[in-house]
Amino acid sequence: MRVAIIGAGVIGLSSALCIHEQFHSLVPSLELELYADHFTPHTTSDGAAGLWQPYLSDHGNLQETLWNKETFDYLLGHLHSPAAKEMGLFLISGYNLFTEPVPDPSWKNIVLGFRNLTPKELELFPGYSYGWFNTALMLEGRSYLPWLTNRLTQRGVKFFHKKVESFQEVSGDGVDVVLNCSGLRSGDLQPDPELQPGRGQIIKVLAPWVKHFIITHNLKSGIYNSPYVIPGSEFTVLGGIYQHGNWSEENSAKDHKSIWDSCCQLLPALQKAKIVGEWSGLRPARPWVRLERESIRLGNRQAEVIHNYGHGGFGITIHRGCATAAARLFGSILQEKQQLATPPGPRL
Amino acid sequence: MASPKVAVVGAGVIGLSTALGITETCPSCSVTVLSDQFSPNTTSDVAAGMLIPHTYPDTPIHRQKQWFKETFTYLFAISNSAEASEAGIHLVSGWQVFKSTPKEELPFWSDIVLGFRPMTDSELQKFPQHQFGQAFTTLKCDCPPYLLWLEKRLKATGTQMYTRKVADLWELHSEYDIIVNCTGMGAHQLVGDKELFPVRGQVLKVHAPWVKQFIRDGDGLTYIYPGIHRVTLGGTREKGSWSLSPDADTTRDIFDRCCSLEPSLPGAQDIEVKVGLRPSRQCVRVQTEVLSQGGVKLPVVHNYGHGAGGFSVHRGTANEAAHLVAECISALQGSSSRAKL
Repeated sequence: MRVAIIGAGVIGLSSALCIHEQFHSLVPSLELELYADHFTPHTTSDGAAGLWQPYLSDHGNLQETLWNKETFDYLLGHLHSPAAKEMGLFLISGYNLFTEPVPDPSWKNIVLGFRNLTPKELELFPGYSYGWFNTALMLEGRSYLPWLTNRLTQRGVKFFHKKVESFQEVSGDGVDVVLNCSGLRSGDLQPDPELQPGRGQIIKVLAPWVKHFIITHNLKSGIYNSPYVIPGSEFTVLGGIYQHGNWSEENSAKDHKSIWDSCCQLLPALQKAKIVGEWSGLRPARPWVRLERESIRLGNRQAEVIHNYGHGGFGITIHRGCATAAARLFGSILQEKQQLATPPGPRL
Repeated sequence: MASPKVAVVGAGVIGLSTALGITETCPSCSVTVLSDQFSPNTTSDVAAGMLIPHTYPDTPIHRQKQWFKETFTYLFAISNSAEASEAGIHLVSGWQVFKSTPKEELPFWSDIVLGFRPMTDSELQKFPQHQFGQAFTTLKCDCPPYLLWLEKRLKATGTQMYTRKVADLWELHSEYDIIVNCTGMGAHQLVGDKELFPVRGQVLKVHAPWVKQFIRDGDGLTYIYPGIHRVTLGGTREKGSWSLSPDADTTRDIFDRCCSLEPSLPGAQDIEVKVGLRPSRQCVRVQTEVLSQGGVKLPVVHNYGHGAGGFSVHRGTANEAAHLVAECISALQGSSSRAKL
C-alpha cells in the first residue's frame, strides 16, 4: 500500500508521521513517500514564530477548537520527555492586550493559568486597557520539522524534492492514497477560491531579555494586524502584518517600518535590539480548514485524496489534531479497501 | 562644609545603589566608591538577582515590605523603559512550588509582585512531588549588566571609583567626612560584626535559552532562574561555610535537583560554576554609628547583612542609608557652625 504525501511543512510531516505510527504494524506493505518543493528550513512553518495560540474566536467551529486542544495536550505531554529540546518545545507565558474588554477565548481552559491582567500589569502597556495572561507552548518549526523528518526517515519514509503539478503525477504507478498537505499552493493542484494568502512579515531581533510573548489586538484591523513580540530560543520575532490576498513574498519597507515602530512603542527597550533577519510568508488562509476525503477519477483509476490544508496562521497550533483526523480518514479508506483485518464475526 | 566627602566602601549591588542614592539625596556631596572588588567579581555577580524577598527574622515585616516595594517600583520603571536591556532588568514569570502546603499561603510580598495567585491543578501536574504552588511575575536584575549600569550612572554624576582594600575604617577619616559601610561579608572583619555569618551558595550558570520561566522550590534550595544570556541553577544554603571553591559533588546534586523540576535541562550547554557567600544576619544593619578615637569622631552609616535578599531590598535600604547620610551631614554642619561661634 503506497501513500504519497504532498507538502513538507508541519502539516505534511505530522500527518505522515501519524499515519505511519498508527498503521505500519497493521499494514505491513505500507510505504510512505513525501513530495515537496520546499523542505525545512524553507517552508512556511519554518517562518512562523511557533507560538501555540488559536485565533480569538473559533466562529463556532468546535471541531477546530477540539483539534487545537488535542495538539496542546499532545505537546504538553511531550514537555517532560527528553525529546522536548530537540523538538523545539518549551513553555512560555505572556500577554494578550486589548483596547476594550472582550469575551474570553475558546482556548481559555486549554492553556495553563488563564486570567485577566491586573491594573498594575496594564501599566506596562499604555494604550491598552484590558488583557489576558496565560502560559502556553512554543514549538519552533526550525527544530520541530527536522525532528519530524528524522522520525520519518527512521521509519523508512522516502523524501522527494520536487514540485508536484497534479494529483495524477503522484497517484499513478500504484499509489493508493494521496495526502494533500500543500498549504497555500493547493490551489495549483485543485482550484479553491476560498484558499487565499494571508501575507505576514516579521523582523527577527536579538532581545534575550524578553521572556514573555506579547500579542496586541486591534479588533478593527483584524488578527495579526497589530504588533506582536514572540521570544524564541535563538531570536525574538516582531510582527503585526496580515494582508489578505497579497501574494508577495518580498519584504516590504513600509511593513518593516510599521512593525518596528509599533513594537518599539510597545517595548521601548527593543530600540536597542539588534536586527538579525527579516522574512515574509504567506499564511494558507481559509474560512475553515479543509480536512476531508475526496475520490478523484484519474484516467481509468480512482485515487483517494485526503485534503489537509488551509490552516491560516494557526497551523502549528492545530497540527496534531488535524494529523490524527487525517489518520482516521486514512483508516476508513483502509477499511473500505479491506486492507485492515476485520475481527471475525458471524457470516450472515 | 561646602561639599561633604562621602566614601562608600563596597561595590556590590548595595554599595553601588547606596552611592547612587546618596548622589540623589545629597547632590552637594562628593561621593567616592572604594572596593577591593568590582563587577564581575562581587558576591552580587554570583546571585541571580531575582526579586523574591528573603524574610529577615528580626527586621519588622512592614519595613521589609517597604524596602521591597520601593525596590520593585524603581526597577519596574526601568524595565519598562528604553534602558531595560542595558540595565539588565527584565520581567520573568514562573512558579514557586511546595512539597507540602506552607503555613503562610500568602507571603508579605504577594501584593507587590504581579499577578500573584495559587497554581491551578493542571499547572501542578507538571510537579508530581509538589502539592501546592504559587504563580507570579517578578523582576530580575542580571549581573554584571545591572552593576555596570549603576557604575555608569555614578560616573555620570562625577562619582569616582577606586580599587582599594580598606582594612580599617579609620584609614579613611582624614580624606572623608562620612563613611558608608556596604562591605557585605567583609563587615565581619572590617567592623568585627560577629552577628554576620556567611551562608555559602553554589550555583551553575548555563546556556539554556529555551527556558523562559522561573521555577523555585519553596524550600529555597532548588531554583531555576532564566537571565538574559544564562540560566542560574541553584543552589545551596550552607550556613557558616566560608569556602569559595566550587564543589564537584554539589554541582552534580544541584544539576540533578534542577533537572527534576525542569526535565529539558540535560540539554543545557556551557556550565559555569560559581560560589558566593551570602552576608547573612538576623536583621539587615541599616544604622548610623559614630566611631570615636582620641577625640576624633567618624560618622559611619552601615548598610550590610542582606543575606539572601540583597537584590530584593537594595533600593529600599539604599534610600534609607542615603537619608542617614543626609542626617549625618546635617549633624556635621550643625556642629561645625556651632564651632564657628
